[in-house]
Amino acid sequence: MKRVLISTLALVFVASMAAFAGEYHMDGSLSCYQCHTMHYSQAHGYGYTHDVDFLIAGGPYDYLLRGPVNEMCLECHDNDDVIDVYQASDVYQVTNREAGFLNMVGDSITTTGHTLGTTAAAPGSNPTWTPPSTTEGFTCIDCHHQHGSKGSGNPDQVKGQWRNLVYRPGNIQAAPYAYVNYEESTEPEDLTKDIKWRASSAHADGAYETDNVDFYEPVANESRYGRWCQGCHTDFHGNSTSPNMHGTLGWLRHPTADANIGAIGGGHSSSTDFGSHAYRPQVMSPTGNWGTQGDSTWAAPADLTPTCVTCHKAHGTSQAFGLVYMTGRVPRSESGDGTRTTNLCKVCHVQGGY
Amino acid sequence: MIRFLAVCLLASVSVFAAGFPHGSDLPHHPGAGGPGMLLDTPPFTPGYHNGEELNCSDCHIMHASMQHDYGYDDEFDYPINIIPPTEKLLKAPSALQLCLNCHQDKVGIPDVIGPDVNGGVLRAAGQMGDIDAINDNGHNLSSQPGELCGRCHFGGEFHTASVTCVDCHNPHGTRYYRNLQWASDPQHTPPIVAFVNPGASGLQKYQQANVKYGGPGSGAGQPTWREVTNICIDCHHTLIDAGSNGGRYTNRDLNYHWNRHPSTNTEWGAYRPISGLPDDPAYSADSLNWYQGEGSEFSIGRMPFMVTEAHDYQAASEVAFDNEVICLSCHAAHGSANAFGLRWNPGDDSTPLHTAGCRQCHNNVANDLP
Repeated sequence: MKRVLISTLALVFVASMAAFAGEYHMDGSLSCYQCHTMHYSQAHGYGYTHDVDFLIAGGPYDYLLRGPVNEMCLECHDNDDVIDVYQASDVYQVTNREAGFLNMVGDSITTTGHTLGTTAAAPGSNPTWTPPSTTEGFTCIDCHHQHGSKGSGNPDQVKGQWRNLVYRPGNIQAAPYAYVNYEESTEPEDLTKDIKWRASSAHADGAYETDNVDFYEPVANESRYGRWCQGCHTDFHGNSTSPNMHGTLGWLRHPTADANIGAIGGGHSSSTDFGSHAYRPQVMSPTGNWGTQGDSTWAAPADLTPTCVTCHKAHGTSQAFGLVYMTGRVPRSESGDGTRTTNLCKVCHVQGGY
Repeated sequence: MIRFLAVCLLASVSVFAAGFPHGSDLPHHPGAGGPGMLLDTPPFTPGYHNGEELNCSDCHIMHASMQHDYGYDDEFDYPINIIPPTEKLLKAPSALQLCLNCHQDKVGIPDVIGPDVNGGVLRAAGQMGDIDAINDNGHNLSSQPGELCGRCHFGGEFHTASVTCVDCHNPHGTRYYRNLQWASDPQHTPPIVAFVNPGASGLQKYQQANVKYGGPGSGAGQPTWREVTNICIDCHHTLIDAGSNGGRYTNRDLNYHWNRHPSTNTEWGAYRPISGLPDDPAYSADSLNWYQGEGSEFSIGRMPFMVTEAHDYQAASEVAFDNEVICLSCHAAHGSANAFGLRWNPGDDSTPLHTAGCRQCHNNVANDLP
């Protein structure tokens, strides 16, 4: 009897861990009612934690949704007590969001990152990719799976995709799919993962802070995160064997994989220069050695590689193209302390002797 | 009146007794401290494409695609899609097209092609001609000039050899004059210095009237900064020789009768003052005429010259008997409206003017001209 009880408890524990493993909006944290309304009529809440009771005017909507996708997502993710993804973080306390922040069609500036509602083709998409919804344009669920689907081939069948990213982004509609896996703070170091997350859940303190995210490089000439972005921005990613990225004499587009900082030497990039910046943008490390932010004496290893997020924040910033104009001399911030893109370039590059 | 006539007579006698002032008979130019004076590389304020004015995004495009600008006017029209993408992530199909995107016919930016859109009187480097065309008035400009040596050697030849901007100008800056560099070995280029009038601003800094030339002296221990024309010898090395009296290219029998016109090249120890070389038995220039600067030949403006050991604009502006002849004395670096990029029109119908450039230093052979 005692053994049965212990076994049962163990099973319950494992099951509960599985239920709460991974991101919010998946498995045990996927709450149907947060997004769906059965009758487009709701006079009160359910009395649950994380309850919602809003209905966006103009319904009822397809898929029994509470409103149009973007508006519905922003009901919680803008100006509320969960991660705020649109413009400034009004209520949710965060210093430097890993993904930055979005803009929206109708905003005074829509050139600083991903624009909700746009119907424009994704830059670099080949074949041309436009948001599938011609009425709503670009929506949150073009990148994030609303149900946290992992994909049957996902190497991490427990936690699934980082940030609930879809595994079939943009033009990647057939295998091999774009899996991006991560390691939580409660797990041992795993260099086969793509991301190191120094938090244990979406509700943990600092879960969305840039300082709590770093990027592994499990395969020397790949960036699985970069390939995920490539789903829409097809021509902007690849490696030194990709004709869209590399020519006979060198790179044709800025590398997002397969190019170690300082490898060429001379007046190009410099790992020494990179390490001499006390504060550095996120780069991929195959060994998990990113140095310590604030340390300008770090001897940066020769195997660090830039990828998309080295320069851009996924959602955007207040700078053009969602770039982070950081000088590397003061603590990192969402949009950077610099005034121009060259500030960022010079963290790695030494052309011109700087 | 009698005293005046006497002074004039004495002066005339002394000049003719000594012949035209030249060689070691002459004092050095007023700005020099004497041979062997050791001076560091002159201080220089870098211009655009240096330091805080080196903007990666001026020339590079990360993904060969930009839907919009960075929020400031950078002379490009958006969206930009470079198809196919270019090496070095350039923001144009070639380095030449990239440079000319700003440096051709853009108001407020130095214009290097044809007439000056900014209305300048005379640009120090002159003007380039048409792209991918033989330019008898200066350098041939091409987007695909080919490997450097092969442009003139191994089948290439001078008349058809072409250049592109980044042969001579370092796009990432050198911190020195016009970001000039050795085409054959950019990374080891010494400081190349010329002096810009400190009172000039904006595009006036590019006007010939506001640019003067200096170079290191010949004494031991001189610093290794170089005059502007040091970069010319990278390609035009058969037009210049080392040594005090030329050599196989310019004066192969060393008899002081030059086979090619002499010009100064401090790197090779070749100093060619208008006043001639010390002990030159065949001196035939007219340093007095040069010094006095009168006559119709100066109506085209005084030819640029170099002052050794000049360390600032004022010193480099000093006219003296022993001002040095450099490539730029006769030629505009980019070219001009005249054959060979000359600074005067050798085809001018006016006899005095079509030899004007020559006569500033050689008026002694043309005494019958006004």
